[in-house]
Amino acid sequence: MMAAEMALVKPISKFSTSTPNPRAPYSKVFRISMSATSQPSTGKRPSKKAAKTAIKETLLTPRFYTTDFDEMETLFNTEINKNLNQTEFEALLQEFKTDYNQTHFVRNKEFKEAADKIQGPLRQIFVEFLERSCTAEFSGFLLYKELGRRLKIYMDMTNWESDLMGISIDTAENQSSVAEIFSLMSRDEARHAGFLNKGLSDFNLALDLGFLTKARKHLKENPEYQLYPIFKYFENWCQDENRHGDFFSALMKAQPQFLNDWKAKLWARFFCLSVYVTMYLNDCQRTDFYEGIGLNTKEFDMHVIIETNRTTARIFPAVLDVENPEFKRKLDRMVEINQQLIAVGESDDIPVVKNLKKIPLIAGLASEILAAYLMPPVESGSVDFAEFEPQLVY
Amino acid sequence: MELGAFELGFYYYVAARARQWQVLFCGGQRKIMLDEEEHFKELLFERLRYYGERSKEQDFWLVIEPKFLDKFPNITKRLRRPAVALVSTNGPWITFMKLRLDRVLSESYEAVSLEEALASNPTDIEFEKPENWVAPYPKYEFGWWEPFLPPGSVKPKV
Repeated sequence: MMAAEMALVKPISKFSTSTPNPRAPYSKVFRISMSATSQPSTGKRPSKKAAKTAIKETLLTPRFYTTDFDEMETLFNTEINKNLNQTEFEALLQEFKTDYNQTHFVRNKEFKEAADKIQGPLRQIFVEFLERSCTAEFSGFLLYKELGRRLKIYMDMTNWESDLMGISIDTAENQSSVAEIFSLMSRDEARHAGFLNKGLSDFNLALDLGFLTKARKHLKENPEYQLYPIFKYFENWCQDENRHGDFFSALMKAQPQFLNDWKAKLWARFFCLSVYVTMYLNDCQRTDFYEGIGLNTKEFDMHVIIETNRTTARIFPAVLDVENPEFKRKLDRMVEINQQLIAVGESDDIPVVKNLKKIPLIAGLASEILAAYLMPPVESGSVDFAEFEPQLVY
Repeated sequence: MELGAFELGFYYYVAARARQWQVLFCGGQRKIMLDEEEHFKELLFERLRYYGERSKEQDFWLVIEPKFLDKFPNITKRLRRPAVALVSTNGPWITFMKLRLDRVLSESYEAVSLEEALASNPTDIEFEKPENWVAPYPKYEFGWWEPFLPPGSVKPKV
Protein backbone atom coordinates (compact mmCIF):
# COMPACT_ATOMS: atom_id res chain seq x y z
CA MET A 1 0.00 0.00 0.00
CA MET A 2 2.82 2.38 0.85
CA ALA A 3 4.44 1.61 -2.48
CA ALA A 4 1.26 2.58 -4.27
CA GLU A 5 1.02 5.80 -2.27
CA MET A 6 4.67 6.68 -2.86
CA ALA A 7 4.15 6.12 -6.56
CA LEU A 8 1.46 8.76 -6.38
CA VAL A 9 3.58 11.14 -4.32
CA LYS A 10 6.65 11.13 -6.53
CA PRO A 11 5.34 13.13 -9.50
CA ILE A 12 4.49 16.17 -7.38
CA SER A 13 7.56 18.11 -8.31
CA LYS A 14 5.86 21.49 -8.05
CA PHE A 15 5.38 21.30 -4.29
CA SER A 16 8.31 23.46 -3.28
CA THR A 17 9.79 23.01 0.17
CA SER A 18 11.33 26.47 0.21
CA THR A 19 10.33 28.94 2.90
CA PRO A 20 7.29 30.95 1.86
CA ASN A 21 7.83 34.62 1.14
CA PRO A 22 5.39 36.69 3.20
CA ARG A 23 6.39 39.80 1.30
CA ALA A 24 5.52 38.35 -2.09
CA PRO A 25 3.79 41.02 -4.19
CA TYR A 26 0.01 40.73 -4.37
CA SER A 27 -1.11 39.21 -7.62
CA LYS A 28 -4.59 39.46 -9.07
CA VAL A 29 -4.49 36.01 -10.62
CA PHE A 30 -5.18 32.85 -8.62
CA ARG A 31 -4.09 29.80 -10.59
CA ILE A 32 -4.69 26.13 -10.05
CA SER A 33 -2.90 23.97 -12.56
CA MET A 34 -2.66 20.25 -13.13
CA SER A 35 0.63 18.45 -13.40
CA ALA A 36 0.91 16.29 -16.49
CA THR A 37 3.70 14.17 -15.07
CA SER A 38 1.75 11.77 -12.96
CA GLN A 39 3.08 8.42 -14.10
CA PRO A 40 3.78 6.11 -11.20
CA SER A 41 7.42 5.56 -10.38
CA THR A 42 9.13 2.67 -12.07
CA GLY A 43 11.23 1.66 -9.10
CA LYS A 44 10.98 -1.85 -7.69
CA ARG A 45 8.18 -2.45 -5.25
CA PRO A 46 7.41 -5.18 -2.76
CA SER A 47 5.68 -8.02 -4.56
CA LYS A 48 1.96 -8.46 -4.08
CA LYS A 49 -0.45 -11.17 -5.13
CA ALA A 50 -0.84 -9.44 -8.46
CA ALA A 51 1.41 -6.82 -10.01
CA LYS A 52 -0.20 -3.41 -10.33
CA THR A 53 -0.07 -2.00 -13.83
CA ALA A 54 0.82 1.65 -14.37
CA ILE A 55 -2.06 4.09 -14.71
CA LYS A 56 -2.54 4.87 -18.37
CA GLU A 57 -2.08 8.60 -19.03
CA THR A 58 -4.13 10.30 -21.75
CA LEU A 59 -5.21 13.86 -22.38
CA LEU A 60 -8.35 13.45 -20.29
CA THR A 61 -7.25 11.29 -17.35
CA PRO A 62 -6.87 12.78 -13.86
CA ARG A 63 -3.56 14.38 -12.98
CA PHE A 64 -2.22 15.94 -9.82
CA TYR A 65 -3.31 19.42 -8.85
CA THR A 66 -0.94 22.13 -7.71
CA THR A 67 -1.13 25.90 -7.27
CA ASP A 68 0.95 29.03 -6.68
CA PHE A 69 1.48 28.89 -2.93
CA ASP A 70 3.02 32.37 -2.68
CA GLU A 71 -0.08 33.90 -4.24
CA MET A 72 -2.31 31.90 -1.92
CA GLU A 73 -0.42 33.30 1.06
CA THR A 74 -1.07 36.88 -0.03
CA LEU A 75 -4.75 36.24 -0.80
CA PHE A 76 -5.45 35.79 2.91
CA ASN A 77 -3.74 38.94 4.12
CA THR A 78 -6.47 41.26 5.42
CA GLU A 79 -4.27 44.30 4.95
CA ILE A 80 -4.35 43.62 1.22
CA ASN A 81 -7.72 41.91 1.04
CA LYS A 82 -10.38 43.83 2.97
CA ASN A 83 -13.19 41.48 1.93
CA LEU A 84 -12.34 38.41 3.98
CA ASN A 85 -15.46 37.53 5.94
CA GLN A 86 -14.15 36.30 9.27
CA THR A 87 -17.64 35.21 10.36
CA GLU A 88 -18.08 32.98 7.31
CA PHE A 89 -14.66 31.37 7.69
CA GLU A 90 -15.22 30.77 11.41
CA ALA A 91 -18.61 29.18 10.66
CA LEU A 92 -16.98 26.97 8.04
CA LEU A 93 -14.22 26.03 10.47
CA GLN A 94 -16.81 24.93 13.04
CA GLU A 95 -18.57 22.85 10.40
CA PHE A 96 -15.32 21.12 9.40
CA LYS A 97 -14.36 20.54 13.03
CA THR A 98 -17.69 18.80 13.62
CA ASP A 99 -16.36 15.99 11.41
CA TYR A 100 -19.67 14.29 10.67
CA ASN A 101 -18.01 11.29 9.04
CA GLN A 102 -15.26 10.56 11.55
CA THR A 103 -16.62 7.07 12.23
CA HIS A 104 -18.41 6.53 8.94
CA PHE A 105 -15.81 5.05 6.59
CA VAL A 106 -15.43 1.64 8.23
CA ARG A 107 -14.98 -1.48 6.13
CA ASN A 108 -16.57 -4.86 6.76
CA LYS A 109 -16.43 -8.36 5.28
CA GLU A 110 -18.90 -7.39 2.54
CA PHE A 111 -16.10 -5.67 0.65
CA LYS A 112 -13.95 -8.69 -0.09
CA GLU A 113 -16.97 -10.89 -0.78
CA ALA A 114 -18.39 -8.36 -3.25
CA ALA A 115 -15.03 -7.85 -4.97
CA ASP A 116 -14.66 -11.58 -5.55
CA LYS A 117 -18.04 -11.66 -7.28
CA ILE A 118 -17.06 -8.96 -9.79
CA GLN A 119 -15.48 -10.94 -12.63
CA GLY A 120 -14.92 -10.70 -16.37
CA PRO A 121 -14.65 -7.41 -18.28
CA LEU A 122 -16.63 -5.55 -15.61
CA ARG A 123 -13.93 -6.27 -13.03
CA GLN A 124 -11.26 -4.48 -15.07
CA ILE A 125 -13.62 -1.58 -15.82
CA PHE A 126 -14.46 -1.27 -12.13
CA VAL A 127 -10.81 -1.42 -11.10
CA GLU A 128 -9.93 1.38 -13.54
CA PHE A 129 -12.74 3.49 -12.08
CA LEU A 130 -11.44 2.94 -8.56
CA GLU A 131 -7.85 3.58 -9.62
CA ARG A 132 -8.66 6.92 -11.30
CA SER A 133 -10.57 8.11 -8.29
CA CYS A 134 -7.96 7.25 -5.72
CA THR A 135 -5.50 9.32 -7.74
CA ALA A 136 -7.87 12.29 -7.56
CA GLU A 137 -8.55 11.91 -3.83
CA PHE A 138 -4.90 11.48 -2.97
CA SER A 139 -4.02 14.47 -5.14
CA GLY A 140 -6.56 16.60 -3.26
CA PHE A 141 -5.08 15.44 0.03
CA LEU A 142 -1.57 16.48 -1.05
CA LEU A 143 -2.69 19.89 -2.33
CA TYR A 144 -4.78 20.78 0.73
CA LYS A 145 -2.14 19.50 3.14
CA GLU A 146 0.54 21.63 1.51
CA LEU A 147 -1.73 24.69 1.43
CA GLY A 148 -2.58 24.21 5.09
CA ARG A 149 1.09 23.84 5.97
CA ARG A 150 2.24 26.84 3.94
CA LEU A 151 -0.53 29.11 5.22
CA LYS A 152 0.20 27.97 8.79
CA ILE A 153 3.88 28.91 8.38
CA TYR A 154 2.87 32.33 7.09
CA MET A 155 0.37 32.76 9.92
CA ASP A 156 3.04 31.87 12.51
CA MET A 157 5.39 34.40 10.95
CA THR A 158 2.77 37.14 11.19
CA ASN A 159 2.49 36.52 14.92
CA TRP A 160 6.10 37.51 15.60
CA GLU A 161 6.63 39.79 12.61
CA SER A 162 3.35 41.68 12.83
CA ASP A 163 4.90 44.94 14.04
CA LEU A 164 7.74 44.80 11.55
CA MET A 165 5.48 43.95 8.61
CA GLY A 166 2.49 46.06 9.63
CA ILE A 167 0.11 43.10 9.59
CA SER A 168 -2.74 43.16 12.09
CA ILE A 169 -3.61 40.32 14.46
CA ASP A 170 -6.87 39.92 12.51
CA THR A 171 -4.74 38.75 9.61
CA ALA A 172 -3.20 36.01 11.69
CA GLU A 173 -6.60 34.89 12.94
CA ASN A 174 -8.01 34.80 9.44
CA GLN A 175 -5.06 32.90 8.08
CA SER A 176 -5.31 30.56 11.02
CA SER A 177 -8.94 29.76 10.11
CA VAL A 178 -8.16 29.30 6.43
CA ALA A 179 -5.03 27.23 7.14
CA GLU A 180 -6.95 25.00 9.53
CA ILE A 181 -9.78 24.52 7.05
CA PHE A 182 -7.30 23.43 4.39
CA SER A 183 -5.81 20.98 6.88
CA LEU A 184 -9.25 19.62 7.76
CA MET A 185 -10.10 19.24 4.07
CA SER A 186 -6.87 17.30 3.64
CA ARG A 187 -8.09 15.10 6.51
CA ASP A 188 -11.28 14.37 4.53
CA GLU A 189 -9.38 13.63 1.33
CA ALA A 190 -6.89 11.40 3.15
CA ARG A 191 -9.77 9.51 4.72
CA HIS A 192 -11.37 9.01 1.31
CA ALA A 193 -8.11 7.97 -0.35
CA GLY A 194 -7.23 5.66 2.54
CA PHE A 195 -10.65 4.06 2.46
CA LEU A 196 -10.20 3.40 -1.24
CA ASN A 197 -6.64 2.17 -0.84
CA LYS A 198 -7.77 -0.44 1.65
CA GLY A 199 -9.52 -1.99 -1.31
CA LEU A 200 -6.05 -3.16 -2.39
CA SER A 201 -6.67 -6.29 -0.38
CA ASP A 202 -9.87 -6.82 -2.37
CA PHE A 203 -8.63 -5.99 -5.87
CA ASN A 204 -4.84 -5.99 -5.42
CA LEU A 205 -4.91 -2.40 -6.69
CA ALA A 206 -5.47 1.27 -5.72
CA LEU A 207 -8.85 3.00 -6.09
CA ASP A 208 -10.90 6.27 -7.22
CA LEU A 209 -14.26 7.93 -6.65
CA GLY A 210 -14.40 11.04 -8.83
CA PHE A 211 -17.88 10.61 -10.28
CA LEU A 212 -19.58 10.00 -6.95
CA THR A 213 -21.74 13.13 -6.93
CA LYS A 214 -25.08 11.72 -8.04
CA ALA A 215 -24.84 7.96 -8.45
CA ARG A 216 -25.32 7.13 -4.79
CA LYS A 217 -29.07 7.86 -4.81
CA HIS A 218 -29.68 5.74 -7.90
CA LEU A 219 -27.81 2.87 -6.26
CA LYS A 220 -29.83 3.17 -3.06
CA GLU A 221 -33.00 2.89 -5.14
CA ASN A 222 -31.59 0.00 -7.21
CA PRO A 223 -29.62 -2.28 -4.87
CA GLU A 224 -29.14 -4.91 -7.57
CA TYR A 225 -26.49 -2.61 -9.06
CA GLN A 226 -24.66 -2.24 -5.74
CA LEU A 227 -21.69 -4.22 -7.06
CA TYR A 228 -19.33 -3.21 -4.29
CA PRO A 229 -20.26 -1.80 -0.84
CA ILE A 230 -18.32 1.40 -1.47
CA PHE A 231 -21.42 2.86 -3.14
CA LYS A 232 -23.24 2.78 0.20
CA TYR A 233 -20.83 5.44 1.44
CA PHE A 234 -21.43 7.88 -1.40
CA GLU A 235 -23.99 10.15 0.26
CA ASN A 236 -21.76 10.99 3.22
CA TRP A 237 -18.82 11.28 0.88
CA CYS A 238 -20.81 13.79 -1.17
CA GLN A 239 -21.48 15.89 1.91
CA ASP A 240 -17.73 16.10 2.58
CA GLU A 241 -17.18 17.29 -0.98
CA ASN A 242 -20.10 19.74 -0.75
CA ARG A 243 -18.49 21.36 2.29
CA HIS A 244 -15.24 21.70 0.36
CA GLY A 245 -17.24 23.51 -2.31
CA ASP A 246 -18.74 25.82 0.33
CA PHE A 247 -15.23 26.78 1.43
CA PHE A 248 -14.18 27.63 -2.10
CA SER A 249 -17.35 29.69 -2.50
CA ALA A 250 -16.31 31.67 0.57
CA LEU A 251 -12.80 32.09 -0.85
CA MET A 252 -14.19 33.44 -4.12
CA LYS A 253 -16.64 35.73 -2.36
CA ALA A 254 -13.63 37.10 -0.50
CA GLN A 255 -12.11 38.01 -3.89
CA PRO A 256 -14.99 39.84 -5.62
CA GLN A 257 -12.59 41.45 -8.10
CA PHE A 258 -12.38 38.02 -9.74
CA LEU A 259 -16.15 37.78 -10.07
CA ASN A 260 -17.54 41.16 -11.03
CA ASP A 261 -16.36 42.07 -14.51
CA TRP A 262 -16.80 40.87 -18.10
CA LYS A 263 -13.55 38.90 -17.99
CA ALA A 264 -14.81 36.95 -14.99
CA LYS A 265 -17.93 35.99 -16.92
CA LEU A 266 -15.87 34.70 -19.83
CA TRP A 267 -13.56 32.75 -17.53
CA ALA A 268 -16.49 31.28 -15.59
CA ARG A 269 -18.12 30.02 -18.78
CA PHE A 270 -14.79 28.65 -20.03
CA PHE A 271 -14.16 26.82 -16.77
CA CYS A 272 -17.64 25.27 -16.71
CA LEU A 273 -17.43 24.24 -20.35
CA SER A 274 -14.00 22.64 -19.96
CA VAL A 275 -15.21 20.60 -16.98
CA TYR A 276 -18.48 19.51 -18.61
CA VAL A 277 -16.94 18.61 -21.97
CA THR A 278 -14.08 16.68 -20.36
CA MET A 279 -16.49 14.73 -18.16
CA TYR A 280 -18.95 14.00 -20.97
CA LEU A 281 -16.28 12.83 -23.43
CA ASN A 282 -14.51 10.78 -20.76
CA ASP A 283 -17.65 9.06 -19.55
CA CYS A 284 -18.87 8.30 -23.05
CA GLN A 285 -15.65 6.32 -23.48
CA ARG A 286 -16.58 4.35 -20.35
CA THR A 287 -20.20 3.48 -20.98
CA ASP A 288 -19.54 -0.15 -19.99
CA PHE A 289 -18.87 0.95 -16.43
CA TYR A 290 -22.02 3.05 -16.11
CA GLU A 291 -24.18 0.42 -17.78
CA GLY A 292 -22.65 -2.12 -15.41
CA ILE A 293 -24.18 -0.24 -12.49
CA GLY A 294 -27.47 0.35 -14.30
CA LEU A 295 -27.02 3.93 -15.48
CA ASN A 296 -27.58 5.53 -18.87
CA THR A 297 -24.26 7.35 -19.29
CA LYS A 298 -25.52 10.39 -21.19
CA GLU A 299 -28.65 10.89 -19.09
CA PHE A 300 -26.64 10.52 -15.91
CA ASP A 301 -23.97 12.97 -17.08
CA MET A 302 -26.56 15.55 -18.09
CA HIS A 303 -28.14 15.32 -14.66
CA VAL A 304 -24.76 15.84 -13.00
CA ILE A 305 -24.01 18.78 -15.33
CA ILE A 306 -27.37 20.45 -14.63
CA GLU A 307 -27.03 20.05 -10.86
CA THR A 308 -23.42 21.24 -10.92
CA ASN A 309 -24.39 24.25 -13.02
CA ARG A 310 -27.10 25.23 -10.53
CA THR A 311 -24.56 25.10 -7.73
CA THR A 312 -21.91 27.11 -9.56
CA ALA A 313 -24.57 29.70 -10.44
CA ARG A 314 -24.59 30.68 -6.76
CA ILE A 315 -21.09 32.11 -7.11
CA PHE A 316 -20.02 32.42 -10.77
CA PRO A 317 -21.21 35.64 -12.47
CA ALA A 318 -22.33 33.73 -15.57
CA VAL A 319 -22.93 30.07 -16.34
CA LEU A 320 -23.72 28.03 -19.42
CA ASP A 321 -27.31 27.42 -20.48
CA VAL A 322 -26.97 23.68 -19.99
CA GLU A 323 -30.74 23.10 -19.83
CA ASN A 324 -31.09 24.32 -23.40
CA PRO A 325 -31.50 21.14 -25.54
CA GLU A 326 -29.01 22.57 -28.04
CA PHE A 327 -26.25 22.29 -25.42
CA LYS A 328 -26.71 18.52 -25.16
CA ARG A 329 -26.87 18.22 -28.95
CA LYS A 330 -23.49 19.92 -29.15
CA LEU A 331 -22.04 17.58 -26.52
CA ASP A 332 -23.33 14.57 -28.45
CA ARG A 333 -21.73 15.84 -31.65
CA MET A 334 -18.45 16.24 -29.75
CA VAL A 335 -18.72 12.61 -28.62
CA GLU A 336 -19.18 11.45 -32.23
CA ILE A 337 -16.15 13.43 -33.40
CA ASN A 338 -14.08 12.22 -30.45
CA GLN A 339 -14.95 8.61 -31.26
CA GLN A 340 -13.82 9.18 -34.84
CA LEU A 341 -10.56 10.66 -33.55
CA ILE A 342 -9.99 7.60 -31.37
CA ALA A 343 -10.72 5.30 -34.32
CA VAL A 344 -8.18 7.16 -36.47
CA GLY A 345 -5.62 6.92 -33.69
CA GLU A 346 -6.13 3.17 -33.41
CA SER A 347 -6.02 2.55 -37.17
CA ASP A 348 -3.07 0.95 -38.97
CA ASP A 349 -2.36 4.04 -41.07
CA ILE A 350 1.09 5.58 -41.03
CA PRO A 351 1.47 8.59 -38.67
CA VAL A 352 1.37 11.16 -41.49
CA VAL A 353 -1.93 9.82 -42.82
CA LYS A 354 -3.35 9.64 -39.29
CA ASN A 355 -2.46 13.28 -38.67
CA LEU A 356 -4.01 14.37 -41.96
CA LYS A 357 -7.22 12.50 -41.12
CA LYS A 358 -7.28 14.09 -37.67
CA ILE A 359 -7.08 17.70 -38.90
CA PRO A 360 -10.73 18.08 -40.03
CA LEU A 361 -11.93 16.16 -36.97
CA ILE A 362 -10.00 18.38 -34.56
CA ALA A 363 -11.30 21.44 -36.40
CA GLY A 364 -14.85 20.10 -36.10
CA LEU A 365 -14.41 19.41 -32.39
CA ALA A 366 -12.98 22.88 -31.81
CA SER A 367 -15.86 24.51 -33.67
CA GLU A 368 -18.43 22.61 -31.58
CA ILE A 369 -16.68 23.63 -28.36
CA LEU A 370 -16.55 27.26 -29.52
CA ALA A 371 -20.22 27.17 -30.52
CA ALA A 372 -21.16 25.83 -27.08
CA TYR A 373 -19.05 28.55 -25.44
CA LEU A 374 -20.75 31.26 -27.49
CA MET A 375 -24.29 30.16 -26.64
CA PRO A 376 -26.10 32.95 -24.73
CA PRO A 377 -25.12 32.48 -21.07
CA VAL A 378 -27.28 32.62 -17.95
CA GLU A 379 -26.52 35.61 -15.73
CA SER A 380 -25.89 34.38 -12.20
CA GLY A 381 -23.80 34.93 -9.07
CA SER A 382 -24.20 35.42 -5.34
CA VAL A 383 -26.96 37.82 -4.31
CA ASP A 384 -24.44 39.31 -1.89
CA PHE A 385 -22.93 41.04 -4.94
CA ALA A 386 -26.15 41.78 -6.83
CA GLU A 387 -26.66 45.50 -7.48
CA PHE A 388 -30.40 44.89 -7.89
CA GLU A 389 -30.65 42.93 -4.60
CA PRO A 390 -32.90 45.51 -2.84
CA GLN A 391 -35.55 44.95 -5.54
CA LEU A 392 -35.44 41.15 -5.43
CA VAL A 393 -38.54 39.19 -4.52
CA TYR A 394 -37.49 36.18 -2.47
CA MET B 1 -38.21 42.05 -9.52
CA GLU B 2 -37.59 38.31 -9.57
CA LEU B 3 -34.26 36.61 -10.13
CA GLY B 4 -35.02 34.41 -13.13
CA ALA B 5 -35.36 30.73 -12.40
CA PHE B 6 -33.92 30.90 -8.91
CA GLU B 7 -36.12 30.47 -5.86
CA LEU B 8 -34.87 32.63 -3.04
CA GLY B 9 -34.77 32.34 0.71
CA PHE B 10 -34.80 34.58 3.74
CA TYR B 11 -32.31 34.49 6.60
CA TYR B 12 -33.46 35.35 10.09
CA TYR B 13 -32.06 35.87 13.57
CA VAL B 14 -34.05 35.27 16.75
CA ALA B 15 -32.87 36.11 20.27
CA ALA B 16 -34.62 34.56 23.28
CA ARG B 17 -33.93 35.40 26.92
CA ALA B 18 -31.94 32.28 27.65
CA ARG B 19 -30.88 31.46 24.13
CA GLN B 20 -30.19 33.02 20.79
CA TRP B 21 -32.29 31.63 17.98
CA GLN B 22 -31.28 31.87 14.36
CA VAL B 23 -33.62 31.17 11.50
CA LEU B 24 -33.34 30.68 7.76
CA PHE B 25 -36.48 31.50 5.81
CA CYS B 26 -37.39 30.43 2.35
CA GLY B 27 -40.26 31.82 0.27
CA GLY B 28 -41.72 30.98 -3.13
CA GLN B 29 -43.36 27.66 -2.22
CA ARG B 30 -40.24 26.82 -0.18
CA LYS B 31 -38.61 25.16 -3.17
CA ILE B 32 -35.03 25.91 -2.18
CA MET B 33 -35.39 23.95 1.05
CA LEU B 34 -38.07 21.36 0.58
CA ASP B 35 -38.27 20.51 -3.11
CA GLU B 36 -35.33 21.41 -5.34
CA GLU B 37 -32.14 21.22 -3.32
CA GLU B 38 -31.28 17.58 -2.62
CA HIS B 39 -28.18 18.49 -0.65
CA PHE B 40 -30.30 20.42 1.88
CA LYS B 41 -32.31 17.34 2.81
CA GLU B 42 -29.16 15.22 2.95
CA LEU B 43 -27.35 17.78 5.07
CA LEU B 44 -30.15 17.88 7.66
CA PHE B 45 -30.31 14.10 7.91
CA GLU B 46 -26.53 13.92 8.21
CA ARG B 47 -26.69 16.38 11.11
CA LEU B 48 -29.52 14.42 12.72
CA ARG B 49 -27.48 11.21 12.41
CA TYR B 50 -24.46 12.94 13.94
CA TYR B 51 -26.54 14.19 16.88
CA GLY B 52 -27.92 10.70 17.42
CA GLU B 53 -24.46 9.12 17.40
CA ARG B 54 -23.30 11.56 20.07
CA SER B 55 -26.57 11.65 22.06
CA LYS B 56 -26.88 15.38 21.43
CA GLU B 57 -30.26 17.04 21.82
CA GLN B 58 -31.71 18.31 18.56
CA ASP B 59 -31.37 22.09 18.28
CA PHE B 60 -32.62 22.74 14.76
CA TRP B 61 -36.10 22.59 13.25
CA LEU B 62 -38.04 23.41 10.13
CA VAL B 63 -41.03 25.68 10.75
CA ILE B 64 -43.59 25.94 7.97
CA GLU B 65 -45.21 29.39 7.65
CA PRO B 66 -43.80 30.86 10.90
CA LYS B 67 -46.06 33.25 12.81
CA PHE B 68 -43.56 35.98 13.64
CA LEU B 69 -42.79 36.64 9.98
CA ASP B 70 -45.67 39.13 9.79
CA LYS B 71 -43.89 41.45 12.20
CA PHE B 72 -41.62 42.51 9.34
CA PRO B 73 -43.62 44.27 6.61
CA ASN B 74 -40.44 45.31 4.78
CA ILE B 75 -39.40 41.68 4.61
CA THR B 76 -42.77 40.11 3.85
CA LYS B 77 -43.36 42.29 0.81
CA ARG B 78 -40.15 40.83 -0.64
CA LEU B 79 -40.94 37.25 0.37
CA ARG B 80 -43.36 35.06 -1.53
CA ARG B 81 -45.64 33.05 0.71
CA PRO B 82 -46.06 30.56 2.21
CA ALA B 83 -42.57 30.31 3.68
CA VAL B 84 -40.52 27.78 5.63
CA ALA B 85 -37.93 28.52 8.31
CA LEU B 86 -34.87 26.60 9.41
CA VAL B 87 -34.49 27.44 13.11
CA SER B 88 -31.45 26.71 15.26
CA THR B 89 -29.76 27.79 18.47
CA ASN B 90 -26.39 27.34 16.74
CA GLY B 91 -25.39 30.68 15.20
CA PRO B 92 -22.28 29.57 13.28
CA TRP B 93 -24.21 26.70 11.72
CA ILE B 94 -26.87 29.10 10.41
CA THR B 95 -24.09 31.31 9.02
CA PHE B 96 -22.77 28.22 7.25
CA MET B 97 -26.25 27.40 5.93
CA LYS B 98 -26.59 30.96 4.64
CA LEU B 99 -23.34 30.48 2.73
CA ARG B 100 -24.62 27.17 1.35
CA LEU B 101 -28.02 28.45 0.21
CA ASP B 102 -26.84 31.97 -0.79
CA ARG B 103 -30.17 33.35 -2.00
CA VAL B 104 -31.41 34.50 1.39
CA LEU B 105 -32.34 37.68 3.31
CA SER B 106 -31.27 38.49 6.88
CA GLU B 107 -33.11 40.13 9.74
CA SER B 108 -33.25 39.88 13.55
CA TYR B 109 -36.08 38.98 15.90
CA GLU B 110 -36.54 38.46 19.62
CA ALA B 111 -38.54 35.58 21.03
CA VAL B 112 -39.13 34.99 24.72
CA SER B 113 -39.80 31.25 24.49
CA LEU B 114 -39.20 28.15 22.43
CA GLU B 115 -42.90 28.01 21.59
CA GLU B 116 -42.84 31.54 20.21
CA ALA B 117 -39.68 30.92 18.21
CA LEU B 118 -41.18 27.80 16.60
CA ALA B 119 -44.81 28.95 16.27
CA SER B 120 -46.41 28.41 12.88
CA ASN B 121 -49.65 28.90 10.98
CA PRO B 122 -51.29 25.77 9.53
CA THR B 123 -50.90 25.59 5.76
CA ASP B 124 -51.05 23.10 2.92
CA ILE B 125 -48.03 22.37 0.78
CA GLU B 126 -48.08 21.91 -2.98
CA PHE B 127 -45.22 21.12 -5.31
CA GLU B 128 -45.58 20.67 -9.03
CA LYS B 129 -44.16 17.47 -10.44
CA PRO B 130 -41.27 18.26 -12.78
CA GLU B 131 -42.11 17.88 -16.46
CA ASN B 132 -38.69 16.55 -17.35
CA TRP B 133 -37.00 14.66 -14.52
CA VAL B 134 -33.58 13.64 -15.86
CA ALA B 135 -32.14 12.00 -12.75
CA PRO B 136 -31.61 8.21 -12.79
CA TYR B 137 -33.63 7.96 -9.57
CA PRO B 138 -36.98 9.32 -8.27
CA LYS B 139 -37.30 12.59 -6.37
CA TYR B 140 -37.17 12.53 -2.60
CA GLU B 141 -40.52 11.63 -1.09
CA PHE B 142 -42.94 14.39 -0.19
CA GLY B 143 -42.81 14.92 3.57
CA TRP B 144 -39.13 14.04 4.06
CA TRP B 145 -38.96 17.12 6.31
CA GLU B 146 -41.34 15.78 8.99
CA PRO B 147 -38.56 14.65 11.40
CA PHE B 148 -37.47 18.30 11.54
CA LEU B 149 -40.83 19.88 12.36
CA PRO B 150 -41.15 21.25 15.93
CA PRO B 151 -42.43 18.86 18.60
CA GLY B 152 -46.22 18.64 18.56
CA SER B 153 -46.64 20.55 15.31
CA VAL B 154 -49.45 19.62 12.93
CA LYS B 155 -48.13 17.83 9.86
CA PRO B 156 -49.08 19.83 6.74
CA LYS B 157 -51.30 18.09 4.22
CA VAL B 158 -50.45 17.63 0.56
